[in-house]
Amino acid sequence: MKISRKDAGGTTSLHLHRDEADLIDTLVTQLVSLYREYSPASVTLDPLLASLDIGGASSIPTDPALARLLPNAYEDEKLAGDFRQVAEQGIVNRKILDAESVLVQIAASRLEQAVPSDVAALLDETDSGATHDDLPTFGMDENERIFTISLDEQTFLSWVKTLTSMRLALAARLGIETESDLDREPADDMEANTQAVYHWLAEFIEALIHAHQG
Amino acid sequence: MASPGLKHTPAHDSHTEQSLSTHLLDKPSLPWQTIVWDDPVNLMSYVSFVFQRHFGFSREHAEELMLRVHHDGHAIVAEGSREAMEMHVEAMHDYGLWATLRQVSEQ
Repeated sequence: MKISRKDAGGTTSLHLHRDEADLIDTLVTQLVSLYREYSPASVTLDPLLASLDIGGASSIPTDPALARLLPNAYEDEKLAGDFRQVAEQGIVNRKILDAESVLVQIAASRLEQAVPSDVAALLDETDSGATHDDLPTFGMDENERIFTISLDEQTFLSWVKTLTSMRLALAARLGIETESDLDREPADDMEANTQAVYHWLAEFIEALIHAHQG
Repeated sequence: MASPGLKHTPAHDSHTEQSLSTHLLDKPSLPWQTIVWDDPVNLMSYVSFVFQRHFGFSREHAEELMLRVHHDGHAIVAEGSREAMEMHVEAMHDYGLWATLRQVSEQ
């Protein structure tokens, strides 16, 4: 991952390795599913109904990840419930829009990369008659596996908000409630992997904000 | 940053039973506050960025508030009408920050 500082036009450029793009793609897709399963109203195809942003729940979600993503706005339960009913759906809808904007940008950069290299690979195969396994890199150099994503002010916000949401969701899954929980030894390989992703996302957000501040 | 008290008990329950409509009839009413709570997940740089971006605070002021959240467990980041504070809290939730609003209590 490499991030170029914001240029004169206000664009921050993100250079992701294919594995990194795949990881983010997978995580953001899961995040969108989490929101959608919680909130069926947000996937309505009627834009008018969706734009009304009403119909939120009246109590905090039972899933700890969703509870952290959609916290109470009031310390008082009753007031929190009343506010949730009018505000929650809008918050969920905006979180989905931010996440989808990230997915769209990854898909677009993937497409830009995929077309020329796939054509090259196809030509290679035709010419040599070699099998798939005999072609180590399809003639691509490392640079060709880097996806470049340009972030303007709006998409920059979508990225940092979505990456933050992913960390919040992962923190809930890892049971991180206090600072001391961060030092806990992972229970198994899966938890170790999740922790690694959680920390990688922190570095990613930190680098994005640093680049954005120029 | 550390975890805010999830089970934090409000110092006053006076508006528990109060509906929004009766609240609007109250006057003169005490101002409301937007509180941002500390959490172990959000990065200090991110919290400072959000304060600058959303409230238009200078970098110095945003960092000062962020450090107050980090060290004291919470900080008051805005004060004003209930409606304005609800908008701030909603925006903070959009950013993934842990925020609540409350009315200034009578001393």
